[in-house]
Amino acid sequence: MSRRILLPVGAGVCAAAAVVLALLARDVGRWQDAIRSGDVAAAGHVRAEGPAWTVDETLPFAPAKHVLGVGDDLDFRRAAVLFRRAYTRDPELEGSSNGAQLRIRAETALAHVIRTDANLRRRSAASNMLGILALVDVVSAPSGNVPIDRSVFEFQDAVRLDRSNEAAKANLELVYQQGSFGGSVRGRERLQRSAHSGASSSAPGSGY
Amino acid sequence: MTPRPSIPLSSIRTLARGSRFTLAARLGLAVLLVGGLVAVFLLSHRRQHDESFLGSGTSPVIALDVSWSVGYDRSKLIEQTLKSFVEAQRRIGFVLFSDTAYEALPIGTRSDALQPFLRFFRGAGANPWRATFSAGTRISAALDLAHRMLADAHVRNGSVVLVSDLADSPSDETDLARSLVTFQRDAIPIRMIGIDPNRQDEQFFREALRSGGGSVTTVRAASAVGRAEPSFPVLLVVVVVLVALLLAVNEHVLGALTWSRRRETA
Repeated sequence: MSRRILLPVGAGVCAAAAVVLALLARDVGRWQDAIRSGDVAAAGHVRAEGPAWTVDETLPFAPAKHVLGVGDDLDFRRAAVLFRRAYTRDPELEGSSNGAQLRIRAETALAHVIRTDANLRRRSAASNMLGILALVDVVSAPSGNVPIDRSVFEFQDAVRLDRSNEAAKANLELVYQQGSFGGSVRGRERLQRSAHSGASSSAPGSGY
Repeated sequence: MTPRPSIPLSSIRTLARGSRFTLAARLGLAVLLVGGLVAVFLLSHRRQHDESFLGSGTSPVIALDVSWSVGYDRSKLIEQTLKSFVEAQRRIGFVLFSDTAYEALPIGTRSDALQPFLRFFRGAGANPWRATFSAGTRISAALDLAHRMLADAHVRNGSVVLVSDLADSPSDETDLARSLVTFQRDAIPIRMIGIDPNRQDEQFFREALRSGGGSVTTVRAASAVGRAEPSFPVLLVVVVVLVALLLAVNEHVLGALTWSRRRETA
């Protein structure tokens, strides 16, 4: 092909690429704004619809979202909002069918984060939240004989994933001491074995 | 027929190569266009087929709700759904559940083994589960058994297809949460086929399964089985046809230049 043809074709391709990149840059900027405004909305009062954290990207197939890799960030944020909506500390709501359904939605979203997120601290936080909801399930179950093991497993998992997760350690300790574990033979043995049974799920530290 | 007007040229051979190249490019583009259309049709057809029946996982476990809430008026829809499983000719496992569940067919059974079950959902025929087995609906019981079957059979990439009216018992909520979390953790997709479900139940399961890659397909009329999610890309086909039409109009109105050998005058 001659130079006379190649030059205009090359110029056209470069111009098209420039337009695509400009649109991509614009979408990237919009994601930043959307995440910030979504976080502000999430920090406020919990509403039924929740913050959106979405951007209607100009380019098809949402390339900006993939380039930024915000998929797992959004999943975690949405799961955290679902957790806030499900964990109201209102025994009446938590004991109702509506409360149970809110917990199921939150629990599946948190389990998704635990399975897919690459960030161990976030997975640990999600596991801790899942443990709390599992505990609410136990407390508000109509039959009243739901085992507490799932909560214990989730709190242990949270500590395993992030040894600096103090909230998960405290929750685990509380479950060991106040839950049915204390009343059972195994639970008493566990408590006798270690005075710090919750924290002992993590590696021992060194003293001063 | 009158000959097409053409430009007489003396050096016709110099253009012959370019002419052949243009012809080949046109033919190539035409083949690409038609091939693209055929591929779109075949792909969408296959995806629709997979989505409408058993999903893409290997050895799916089908769990069928035979509780009281799935009454006589839904029998025809269940028959149609089961028939679609039979036609899929896949290897499956089969679970029947109400407030408890049992393994009716082990994983790896050919789906045409479901054929004998069809008669129980054909109108007013006797239903062997009605008298003793049918009670409330505990979806967690079916999910737990299906999970155990997949684990025992060491199935990778397994899935569960649950056929129910989705009216789960309120007392099942705690166990359902545990089951759904287990499926989520093990990355086992759940596909629910709602047989004329209540809108609220449908919405609840749709939201609960959203994060786990699961889905809810509803069947509200017997004729709708297999067509619940039409996925044929109508818009794409319209655009392609429109482009082809415009190209044809362009060719007709703004015809390419033709040339012929110049006649030597005496």
